[in-house]
Amino acid sequence: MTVYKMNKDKQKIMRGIAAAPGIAIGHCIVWESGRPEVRGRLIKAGQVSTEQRRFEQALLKAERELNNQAKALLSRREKTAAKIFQTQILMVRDQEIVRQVKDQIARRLFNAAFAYQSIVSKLENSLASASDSYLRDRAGDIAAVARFVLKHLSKARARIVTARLRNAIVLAPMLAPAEVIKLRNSGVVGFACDTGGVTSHVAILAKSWGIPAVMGMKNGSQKINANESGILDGALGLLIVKPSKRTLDQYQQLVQTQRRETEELKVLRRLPAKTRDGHYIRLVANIDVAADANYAIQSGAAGIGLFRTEYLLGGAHLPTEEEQFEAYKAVALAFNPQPVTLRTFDVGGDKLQPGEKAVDPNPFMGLRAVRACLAVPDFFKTQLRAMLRASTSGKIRIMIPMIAGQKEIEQAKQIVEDAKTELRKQKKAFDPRVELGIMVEIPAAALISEQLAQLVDFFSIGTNDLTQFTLAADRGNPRISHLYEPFHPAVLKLIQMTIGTAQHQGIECSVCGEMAGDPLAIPLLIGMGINELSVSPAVLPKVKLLIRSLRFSETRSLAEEILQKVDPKDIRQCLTNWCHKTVPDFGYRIR
Amino acid sequence: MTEQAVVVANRLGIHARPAAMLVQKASKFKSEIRLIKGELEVNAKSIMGVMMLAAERGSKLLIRAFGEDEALAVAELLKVFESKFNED
Repeated sequence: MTVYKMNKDKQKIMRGIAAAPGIAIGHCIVWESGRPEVRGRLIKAGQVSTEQRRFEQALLKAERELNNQAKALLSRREKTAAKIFQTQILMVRDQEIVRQVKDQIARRLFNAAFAYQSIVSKLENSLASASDSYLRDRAGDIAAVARFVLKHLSKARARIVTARLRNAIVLAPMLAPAEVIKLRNSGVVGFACDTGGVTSHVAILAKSWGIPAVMGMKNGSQKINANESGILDGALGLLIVKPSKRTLDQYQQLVQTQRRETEELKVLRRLPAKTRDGHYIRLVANIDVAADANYAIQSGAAGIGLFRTEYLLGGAHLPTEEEQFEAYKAVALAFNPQPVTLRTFDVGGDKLQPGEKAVDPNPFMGLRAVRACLAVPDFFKTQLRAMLRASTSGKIRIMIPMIAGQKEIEQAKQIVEDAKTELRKQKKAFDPRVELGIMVEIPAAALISEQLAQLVDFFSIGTNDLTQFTLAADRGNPRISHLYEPFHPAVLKLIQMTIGTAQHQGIECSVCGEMAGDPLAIPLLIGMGINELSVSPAVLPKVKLLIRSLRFSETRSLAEEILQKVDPKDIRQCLTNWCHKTVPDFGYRIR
Repeated sequence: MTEQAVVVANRLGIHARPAAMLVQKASKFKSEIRLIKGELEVNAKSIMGVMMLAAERGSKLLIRAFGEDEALAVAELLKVFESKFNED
């Protein structure tokens, strides 16, 4: 008797970018965003006006649907997503397209769908081959609009029956925001896309709903058969197809645990980040895009410690003052009256000047951040103006990265003053008490922190870059990345100096690098005198729990002991032992 | 026919937001309105047309209107250009 292994029952694991945490257990569906089949046919002369009217009805329906989507997003303050729809609405109504389609219906007796399809294809092609990159990007918009309109025009029924979407994990090459929302409303529990990354709209929407999204799966959507069972793990970036019983059991347990944690989180959100002996820590969040403000609020953040503004530079054109103002204002409002710290652009100089090519032989230490901004003072002033204007909606703080000396601070402050003068002349309101601070990430800044503290309102220690610069070790270089050690006594000494200066001069000092979220580092930092930590919303609740299990007095003794040591391995071991003994539940690494 | 020349003055040229502003304003009038840049002539009420003009800062455009409210149309569109689309 032969016994065969049922190979087709083996579980398959596919990997992608972990874009939104969460676990979904359901069946997989591949979503085809392709255009519904459009067949051309000739209509009778007497049907021309009916066909033209049918076309107009379809446009109206498409326009109404897009308007509703835009409204729904605006009511959730998702302005960026809403703007996409607004551009598309204008495309639906485009006079020239309407005119030409009606003309083709009348003169060539084409049916509406075929006429529309042929005209839009031509437009899409000329956009896609334009020399202007902004126009090339718009090809996708007109294609999306066309799908919408054609859906209403052609008699083809929707490809997938709605019932099968309930509890489905949807796989697709990419999904437009409208599709994501519709799928979610039909009961979809997770998204996996072949392209895209953590800042894709799919990811941002999924995060705000608390469901998993995995992006960049390459051509995962091609490798799946419909209706296969699956588990989507958004935190690890995995899709497990046809999970084995054991895997399924493990994940089901995990889901139970996470449900419990979500309930606990609701309670934890309202509790303060206070040590057992009554020492308060301000626990705030790092965000990469304005849309993550809600996610930060859900996690229990008491403010934003680092709003990385670089994502605004990712578009086809440099962001205008208005576009920036909208983003900063949204976050300020969401957190009002808690503080929101905006960091000015930290990118290479080439990204601030369209058409420039990156020429820095060593971009890491090159013309980036404040240096690049000071080289384009008008654009720098635009960002500062937008930040200042946003200060009427909440408590904004402005933070300048990569400061190495006094002169840069003075130059930056001058531009801030210029911005304020302009705004006053233009009668545009701002809060004159907006705080201005710097990131301490270049060793020079830590070493002369006494001088610098007199010029600014706060420090924020960027431990990632500080460690790299201090040890001359590039984390990204696998040959020496093992030399990157934040617990190196030299790094700790610079941190200590900075904290000491801040305390001495009476200004705030926080930590916003990865160390702030590292359970091994947190007790040490608190013991050294840090009372504000800025971490990602994903780990914030765990950090709060850790803080609440510490005793400040004990962390102070720990810091004293550690700062006497000279061997980084010794320091790490000592911290590990202390944590295992004092706060055993947090011995794992928070990512 | 009423006609008026205008130079695109805002720093980033006619990209999405200004194009939308022009189209929305132009669509309010009864006249036929065209925007001309060199050899290219587009319907000012068409978002696709205005975008395809790809008018960057410094480009010289002609606003041309035909119809009962042509003078008003040209004047109002001129204002939109001159306000630099509320950008700067």
